[in-house]
Amino acid sequence: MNPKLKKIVAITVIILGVFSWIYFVVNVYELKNNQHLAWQNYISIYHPKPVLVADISSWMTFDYINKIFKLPETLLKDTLQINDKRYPLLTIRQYTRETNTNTGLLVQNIQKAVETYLASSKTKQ
Amino acid sequence: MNAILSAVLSFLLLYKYIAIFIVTYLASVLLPLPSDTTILATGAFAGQGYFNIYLVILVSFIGSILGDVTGFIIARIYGKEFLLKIGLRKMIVSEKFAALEKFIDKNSGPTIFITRFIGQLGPLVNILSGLSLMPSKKFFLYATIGEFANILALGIAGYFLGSAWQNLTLVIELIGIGIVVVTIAFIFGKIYFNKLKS
Repeated sequence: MNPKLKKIVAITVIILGVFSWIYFVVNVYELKNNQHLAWQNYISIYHPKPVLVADISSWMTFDYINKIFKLPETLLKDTLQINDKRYPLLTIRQYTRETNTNTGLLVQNIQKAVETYLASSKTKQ
Repeated sequence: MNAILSAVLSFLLLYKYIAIFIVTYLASVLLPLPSDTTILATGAFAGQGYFNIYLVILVSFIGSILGDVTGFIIARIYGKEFLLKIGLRKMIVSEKFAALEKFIDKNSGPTIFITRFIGQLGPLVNILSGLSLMPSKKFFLYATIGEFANILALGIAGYFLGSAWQNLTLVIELIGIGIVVVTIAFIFGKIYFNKLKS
């Protein structure tokens, strides 16, 4: 490594070291006062972009859809009359391939079922 | 979304952490699987509460590092012998191959570290490192640091992006291809100029 590059690396390491030290001290201070670490504040206040009903795709499993949209586990099974033992650990594509049904149509029906459930649970609240 | 990626995503949702391990391991050995996208996606699934982010990072790290070590060990034990067997003697005894070996040997640390961020190049560098005379401890150290940094960055990015992770996959792929092209051009350029000098 040439001396110039060595200098740049050394300066970068020192700067990163100072920032890391400050970050560490802030975290320890937070832990002492509030019983949790400072970075946990950021995670708890941050809400990642949620999955929308329109995002439902054929690669998703029924289990994933149930959990993401907080649906009762048998809702899709009953609404769409799914008779597969593997439900809910079954992807939409797997199901349509085995039952010779149209994937696009099933995705649309699932979206409708989820929308209806979400609308009804909203009015209940 | 391409067919391979949607198959991988379904596999991840069906088999969860076992699937993460298998995909990251095989991608690190040599198979062309989208391991970066896998980590990004599972990070996003963790952000949605479907996976645990700590387990995603841990399992991805274990899979990747074991895959790296597997590639390195296979190349070290069977590498040259295998290349000779399949009729690549000419390539092994060529000046270019020797220069490439020398380059990797000389710049081993940064090469191993940087290529952990480029899915397509990492496994090739593991094999070349195994073929060269690089000490295994050195390889393991740089691969561990590089893999951890890469997985942490991707996992956390996915976690915070949520369902927007899909927008980032194309950018990652393009950056990866760009880095591969620039790196290959740089290595061959350096070898060519060294040859000219000598």
